[in-house]
Amino acid sequence: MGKKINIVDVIVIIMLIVIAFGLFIKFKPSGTNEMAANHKTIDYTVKIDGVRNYTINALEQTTAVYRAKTNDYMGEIVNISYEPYRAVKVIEETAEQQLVPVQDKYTVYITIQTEGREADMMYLDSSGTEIYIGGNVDWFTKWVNIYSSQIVGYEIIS
Amino acid sequence: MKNLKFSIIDIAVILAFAVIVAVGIILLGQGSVAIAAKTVQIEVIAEIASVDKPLIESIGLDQIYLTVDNVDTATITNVELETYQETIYNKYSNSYELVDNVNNKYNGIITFVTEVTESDMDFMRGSTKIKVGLPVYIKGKGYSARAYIIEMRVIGGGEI
Repeated sequence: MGKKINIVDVIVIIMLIVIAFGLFIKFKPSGTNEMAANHKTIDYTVKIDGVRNYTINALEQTTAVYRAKTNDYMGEIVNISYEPYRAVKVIEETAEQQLVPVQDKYTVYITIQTEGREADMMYLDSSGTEIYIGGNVDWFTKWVNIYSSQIVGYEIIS
Repeated sequence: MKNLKFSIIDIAVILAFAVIVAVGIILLGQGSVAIAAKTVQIEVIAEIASVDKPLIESIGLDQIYLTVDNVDTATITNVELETYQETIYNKYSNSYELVDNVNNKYNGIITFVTEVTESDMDFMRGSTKIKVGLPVYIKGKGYSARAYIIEMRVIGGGEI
């Protein structure tokens, strides 16, 4: 054949190997087959404190929820409930703490249904966000942006 | 041209570039830029909270920018002035109540219309996301203030 491989060819081959490796890392399935087999429908409820009725009205406009920063789809809102927001008041004379209602402010509970996964040590929603009580989640819908909400409960549906 | 020959390395390089281009297209397509986004008009109500009266009074029914870099525009259709209310504890009712402040602070309730691209995830005015809870700038000739969107609705198709 008489063909010779020069240094440029070697560099190109190394570059191709690096690119192929990078693509593999980028697009490899996240998790093992075991995780893929553990798909779960999960309802989890997040709480937002101290918002006005504008937020509630905007939440009722649509159901699809996306994760802030990554724009990944998280699931669908299946329930919204709210109650008057209560803030702590310290009674100065007795140093007693009370929760008292705040005018025109609400605590909102939003239940999101997600096609998530169950791993050995955690639950994940469809965007890869870990679901655990006490966790903080930033998300948005087409109509409203939620800077911070706290997970207060979850239920494995199937 | 008659001496044009392709080695296995050349073919590999061409294939690699093809893959890179394909991957680039896929990655770019994952963003919030929706190819099939349509254009609609929206009416937005935004609140400038707790500022001095002259600032609100200087806002007219003007063309404004929604960002500090003077890019995304809108048109103000209404301006309302209301007294800023503070949340104060009332020991007689044992609750926090909204009370007019005595420090001469006011809210500006600004209504503006603008044309946005609508996708499944967002309403976008250029690079500015329009959603309840997000800030925009009300920046006109001689005034600028940060406002938070409190209401919005679609009022029609494109072309204001």
